[in-house]
Amino acid sequence: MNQKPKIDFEQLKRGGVVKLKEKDMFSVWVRAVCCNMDARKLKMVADIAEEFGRGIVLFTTRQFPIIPHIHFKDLETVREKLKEVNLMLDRCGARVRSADVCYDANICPHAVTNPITLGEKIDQYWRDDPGGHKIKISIVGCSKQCTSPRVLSDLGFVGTEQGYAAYLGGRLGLKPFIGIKVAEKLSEDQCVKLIDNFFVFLRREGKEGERSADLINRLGIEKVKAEINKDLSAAVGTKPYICDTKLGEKVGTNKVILRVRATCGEVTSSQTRKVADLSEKYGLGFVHFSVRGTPEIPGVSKENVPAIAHELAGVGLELLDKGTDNLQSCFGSYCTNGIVDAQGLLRKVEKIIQKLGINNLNLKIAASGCPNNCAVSLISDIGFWGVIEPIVNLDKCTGCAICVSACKVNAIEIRDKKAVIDPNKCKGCMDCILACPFDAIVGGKRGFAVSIGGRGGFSPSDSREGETKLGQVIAEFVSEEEALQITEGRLKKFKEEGL
Amino acid sequence: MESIDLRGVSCPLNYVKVKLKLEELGFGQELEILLSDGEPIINVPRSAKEDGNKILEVEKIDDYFKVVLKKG
Ligand code: SF4
Ligand code: SF4
Repeated sequence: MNQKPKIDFEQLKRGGVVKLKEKDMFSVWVRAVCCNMDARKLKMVADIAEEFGRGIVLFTTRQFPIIPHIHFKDLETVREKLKEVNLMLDRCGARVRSADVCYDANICPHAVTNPITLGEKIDQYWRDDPGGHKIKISIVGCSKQCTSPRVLSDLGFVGTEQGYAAYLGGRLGLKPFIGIKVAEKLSEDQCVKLIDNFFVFLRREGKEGERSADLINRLGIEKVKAEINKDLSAAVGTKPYICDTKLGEKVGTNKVILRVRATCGEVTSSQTRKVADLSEKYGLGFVHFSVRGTPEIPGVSKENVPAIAHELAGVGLELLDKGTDNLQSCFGSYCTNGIVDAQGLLRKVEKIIQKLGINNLNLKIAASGCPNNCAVSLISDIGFWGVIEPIVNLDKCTGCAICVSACKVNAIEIRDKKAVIDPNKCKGCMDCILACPFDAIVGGKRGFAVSIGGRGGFSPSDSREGETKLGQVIAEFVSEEEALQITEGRLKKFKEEGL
Repeated sequence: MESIDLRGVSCPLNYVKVKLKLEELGFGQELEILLSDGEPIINVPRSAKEDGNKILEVEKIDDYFKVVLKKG
């Protein structure tokens, strides 16, 4: 008998569930308040991945865990299991997202403001946002800008001695934009008011699906800036709210943050449980999700580092050294948008790094499966992403115009009831190929694009300032082998000359 | 022909509703779906096709689309 799956429609409306390439398979996005998760909750995530997924937890650039490969019939059971430990699905889609933060000022010695207290206020203020527009928010406590607030978020707040500076417009993807400074010396409540102003403005002036960068491009930065700076001192009424991983006092100067290597962000269930255990045994009882897709264990005494490294080695994990930062990818090979095997490429790049013995560059390398750039390739020292050339088969095209809606850069037009693609506008993202229900657009050449010189903030252990700049594309449509050759050449150069 | 109006229903809920409707249908039966422009029209036919169904017809009507598919 065909058993009817139990599905909570109200819950699904809130998002947090994304379809994967394989039939009936979804990934589940789990909310991590303040980008931390206590050990007990994290172990539940690991258990769910083992029981309902494929035993892998993904540590993502968006700073929360994703459990891939959940069958759609298990979605409701998974949600109930998460609820048992007070976890819920993350917000996604068109709404104010949970704020991404770096660290509690009680943990990071560099922080000059406390990102976690601003994060709490924002989270509380927009908890019941009914949706309508997508607004991503990032907060950092100092000029290193570890979480890349100027490109990864519509609104990025950067802590300075005098308060927060606000940047508007950031995004990666097909139409990358580096956020422009719109205000400075803001108090926490002024930050919340500024977001509120922006939200009201976007509601009033924004067209369907428009993001902050579109608004700036269409209306000009001066107009947007004036609007969002209105009445910043007016009280917005933020309620006090305490994040369960917030600390009451400083952790002390002999404490460090340990970063665990998680190539491609993939950590197995048993490894995840180990990391959670270690945070309980030696740290603060919670794990932080860093923007480079690694689990981090904060608040560890320096003298315990060797013991932790030893325990990690027992499950096949190691601490990140200073040679390269975490090699980061998106879902790549199993995402519905994946054009190339991003993870496969990175595993090979990892071998080259080991062969060359790079050990003091803190090099950032990332590979994304498509030009949407979820793995932040464009703000990495070396970045890769997949590209594909779309070709219309005129015999099959019915002129239905689904592809026109699908193309984010308006490269497609319908002429005489047939789709026509402008190759000069096309970014090679594959959206039109996937969207066409009649297989009338097929892939021509496909390969990797390679960029160098991107920057977007640094980890606390890095001495570089958090300058933000997009990488420069140096190759397109190259094979995996060619991409590896280019990489090896660059790595040798970096090793000799530095970054 | 069975029909389901999913205008105004967002992703991925719209697709889950299509799947549940399809479970009630037999192999080869046809289903008419009404979808909003934007993400729904981009994602739903694509997911249905990926899951082995055949898209027979797509027609743009004002600000929405009518899609006819055949259960595979
Ligand atoms: S989606 Fe496919 S059939 Fe429809 S217009 Fe585009 S290419 Fe033609
Ligand atoms: S034409 Fe197709 S491949 Fe090119 S950018 Fe548009 S959707 Fe992407």
